[in-house]
Amino acid sequence: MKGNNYKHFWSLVFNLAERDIRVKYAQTFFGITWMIVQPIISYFMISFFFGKLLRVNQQITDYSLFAYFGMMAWYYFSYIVGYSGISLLQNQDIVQKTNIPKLVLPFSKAFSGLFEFIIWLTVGILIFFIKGNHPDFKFILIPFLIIFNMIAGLSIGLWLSAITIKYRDIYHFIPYVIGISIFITPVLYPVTMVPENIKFIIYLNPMAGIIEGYRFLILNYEMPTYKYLYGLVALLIFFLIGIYYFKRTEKKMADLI
Amino acid sequence: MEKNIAIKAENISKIFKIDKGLKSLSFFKKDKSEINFYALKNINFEITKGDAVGLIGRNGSGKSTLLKILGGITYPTIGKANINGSCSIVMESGIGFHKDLSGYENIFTQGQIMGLNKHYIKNKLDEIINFSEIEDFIYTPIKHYSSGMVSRLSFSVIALLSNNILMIDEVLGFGDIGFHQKAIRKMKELHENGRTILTISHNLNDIITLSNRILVLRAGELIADGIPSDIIPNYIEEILLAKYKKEITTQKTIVKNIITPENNDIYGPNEIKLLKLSFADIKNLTPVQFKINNKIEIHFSLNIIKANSDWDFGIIIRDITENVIFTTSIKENKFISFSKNGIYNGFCLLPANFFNVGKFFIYPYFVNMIKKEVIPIKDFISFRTISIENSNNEINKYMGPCRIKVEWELENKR
Repeated sequence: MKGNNYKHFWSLVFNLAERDIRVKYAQTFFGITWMIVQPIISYFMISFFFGKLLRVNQQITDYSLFAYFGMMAWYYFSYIVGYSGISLLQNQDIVQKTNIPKLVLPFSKAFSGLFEFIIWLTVGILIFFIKGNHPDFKFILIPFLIIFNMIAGLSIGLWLSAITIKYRDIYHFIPYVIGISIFITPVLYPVTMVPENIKFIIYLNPMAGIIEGYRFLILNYEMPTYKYLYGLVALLIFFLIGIYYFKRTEKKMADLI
Repeated sequence: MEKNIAIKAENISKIFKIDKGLKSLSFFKKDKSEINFYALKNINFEITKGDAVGLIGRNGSGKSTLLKILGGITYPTIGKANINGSCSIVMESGIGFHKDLSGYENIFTQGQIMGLNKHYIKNKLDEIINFSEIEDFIYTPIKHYSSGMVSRLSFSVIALLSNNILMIDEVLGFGDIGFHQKAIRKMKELHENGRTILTISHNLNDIITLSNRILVLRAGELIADGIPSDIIPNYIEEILLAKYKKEITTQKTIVKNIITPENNDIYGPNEIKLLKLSFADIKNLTPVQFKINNKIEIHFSLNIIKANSDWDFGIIIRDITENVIFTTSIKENKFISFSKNGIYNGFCLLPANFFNVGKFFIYPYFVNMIKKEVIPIKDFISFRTISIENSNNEINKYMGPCRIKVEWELENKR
């Protein structure tokens, strides 16, 4: 508003995202190396504890990678929900003392998380190749999934950030909501293990469709059913309503925060 | 809105709902004891392009709220703010700064938040770093900077703002006099380059330098709008003083015509004490006024405990900004000594045609030239001066605490 246009909006989003990343690794010793080591360690932890110990992997060809890509997507989702949810409260000075569009703040968290996500994705794909597999044309569609992944996180994050300004206690529910979400999403288990009469919950969960999508595109699993589309369409609508709600409450944010 | 108007406030009111009672812990709010607090009430004005406007008022008068509304940070409850052109608003120094990042990195964050383009900032980087006088430390995390350095860095980015309208809320009030002057000059330069600027400040000198027009807010209402030489003498309290409601505790607004210490131990050294200081003919609580062409008579009473000491008694005249205008003492011009113990009464006459219209304060003091000791007394009496015509509508073209007759002459051009 007042002279800011789309280009400036995105430029601000990226600047704030970059700032977050720089801050995270300022004065660290291991720096980005740790960012790469994390997914590798997670891969081994998943394959040992869930693969070998808990024996979830009855029908799945490569459980470790199956679960890894599930975790990767879910982790990005929960990062966005958590960080964009508090983005306004955390940046009170920007909300109260500048006239930048407040939408920049939650959006910037989606992009600061993207950096780590890309590293997880790259590590996962490398492990996939190391195991003797080959890339596929389907890989081109991965960016679309990433965008949906981002939208999934943002649609909840936007609502949260706007609501928690007025009702601070909602903020405390965030960790629980995120914790529960891993159970109703097929992150660590295949959809086939879910009883038929409850399957519709999974189909309505957009993250389920997204995760199955990653497994389809990268690991060559079977194509996810069209039923996931219901969830994805619902997601888009929810996202757009979220932006609308955010903009409506934006006017009062500087007063209420 | 006409093309040459930069900012237009139309019937702006800002109402906050304040909870009067304790917040109830129950689910239902039983007593709706909310009141409406008018932070701003029906504000109307227009600012032309290229104007430099100073916005003054006591703390709590609504200045920052008004600026936030004009700058687009918050919205009016009633009315509308119209801005013609791109505007930058600066409410705080170091906006967007993160302590773990270097000065260099923070320049970009703040610049972008203020609406500057990344490439523009890159081009101007040397200028910014030079202006801030930080050079060597620009790559150090700002948590190691002194507060002055942070303010300088922040201001250097502000100085390069390119938007046509610039609104500043008390960001100029930081330390080092040298840099302060530099910052003021830069603001003036920004204005001379055609920008419209709107400044909130409590610094009288800054307001005079940076404004060709002043708006005065009091308790949310616009009570005055005019040129500096009109506004400043009449609204000096608005510039300098604290909370509107707490006038009693603000020394400068109470009427003080007389000093009569009950326990006069602290009113002087061991050898001499002040018993009384007052104006002639005072009626206790009426403010004392003098026309500027009258002399001002001040009576005093001293208790000489030790005769023939080297102590001298005098008064310090200060204006409302606490600046000393002059000092004068008994023993200055005549050879006077207190040759006996006891009480001495006396008076002094402050000259006519010396003071400008305004409020002044007289502080007594004692000085010993041999021992080189000065004892200022932390008590005062105050008086007001009024113009000869005694009309409030008179345009006051005189500024400063003094108004003295100066001879001017022109030689004919040959």
